[in-house]
Amino acid sequence: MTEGSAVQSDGSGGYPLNPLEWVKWLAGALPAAELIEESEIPVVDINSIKDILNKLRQELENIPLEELLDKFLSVVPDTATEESYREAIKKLERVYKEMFPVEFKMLEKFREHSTLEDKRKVWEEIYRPIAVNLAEGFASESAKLWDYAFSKENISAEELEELDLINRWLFLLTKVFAISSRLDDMEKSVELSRFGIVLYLRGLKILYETPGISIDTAKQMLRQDFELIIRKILESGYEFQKADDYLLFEVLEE
Amino acid sequence: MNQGEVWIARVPYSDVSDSIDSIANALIHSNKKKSKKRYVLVLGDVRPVLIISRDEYHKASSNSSVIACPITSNLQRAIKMYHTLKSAGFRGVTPDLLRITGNERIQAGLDRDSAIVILKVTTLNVNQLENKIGGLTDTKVSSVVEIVKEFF
Repeated sequence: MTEGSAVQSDGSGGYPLNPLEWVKWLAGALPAAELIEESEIPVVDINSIKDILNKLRQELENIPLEELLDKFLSVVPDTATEESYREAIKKLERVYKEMFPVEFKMLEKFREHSTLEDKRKVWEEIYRPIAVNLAEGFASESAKLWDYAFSKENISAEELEELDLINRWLFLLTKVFAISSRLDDMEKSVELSRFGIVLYLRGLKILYETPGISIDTAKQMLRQDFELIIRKILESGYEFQKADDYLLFEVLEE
Repeated sequence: MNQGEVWIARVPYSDVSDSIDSIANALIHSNKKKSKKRYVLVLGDVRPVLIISRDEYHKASSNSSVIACPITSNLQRAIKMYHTLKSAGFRGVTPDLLRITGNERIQAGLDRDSAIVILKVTTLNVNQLENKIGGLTDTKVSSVVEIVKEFF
């Protein structure tokens, strides 16, 4: 992580192990979302699409983390608004297309003869499992963060503040992808997950890759994102569980 | 309601007592009929609580009140409470006791790692309980009660 960034934890024996590595979790999320977004989707030999996404994931594994971060973080907006998030998603799609021209060309071939049924199949068999995995991954990181915070003797107030902010960010990431995977409306599901991807990248940039930023500034900046994402969750039509209101409230609590 | 259940409840704030009188006075002044009615305000928020009072207590109070511990997902608050309890010498306070995580979290009906705020044990009227979302094991609840006993 960048020297002088909001989060100073170096991960040596603690938390986070390496939040930058999580960027690889996103591998299949955006291309899969793109398949659903296109109104004329291909069809769909589902296994062929899975193969392409797997290939894409393998290629992504071979790209040095630094290079990947440079590309992905270059799309991160300076402010958190619905428009800036949408613009970032467009930029991210262009980044993917430049990085994986062959795979994207292959995916485009599927766009000629699709039906709504095919679209739903892609969504259920490819997209939903990716969203579930992302939600589980972020939830597991959050549990590790609690383990670390409880186990550390003499934890400083500053570090605790950092961890608390990361915890809120991780919770919203978990929530966004979990809700996205549960929604019945495909378009809203995909929209929510795309906002989740930008939330992840913006959190990464603000917390770990912005030199000279204080934790207070990071908190103020991410609060805009949290409010935006909570609004998107509320607009998604998701039927809230019993404890949701309180949990979302605690994310914004001072 | 029974011991060990987790409910969503309206929990009064514990640190706004000074402002309650001034708010009540303001309301009385704004009342055009100059009513002498005394306003009773419950300022608080809605959050999960763990019921720790025994079912016998509930029967004895004609099921009108429960004793409960609030639950928080605020990491900073949880860690500060843990260190406060430890440094005050409360025996048996461990992360495992305070935390609600993994399968326990699912059983409790929570979808975020949380902690039992033992320090803010409170009596609630049953009208403040909204709905049951889950429960914790007898073992865990007994351990929490043991710590609360140490307060006295």
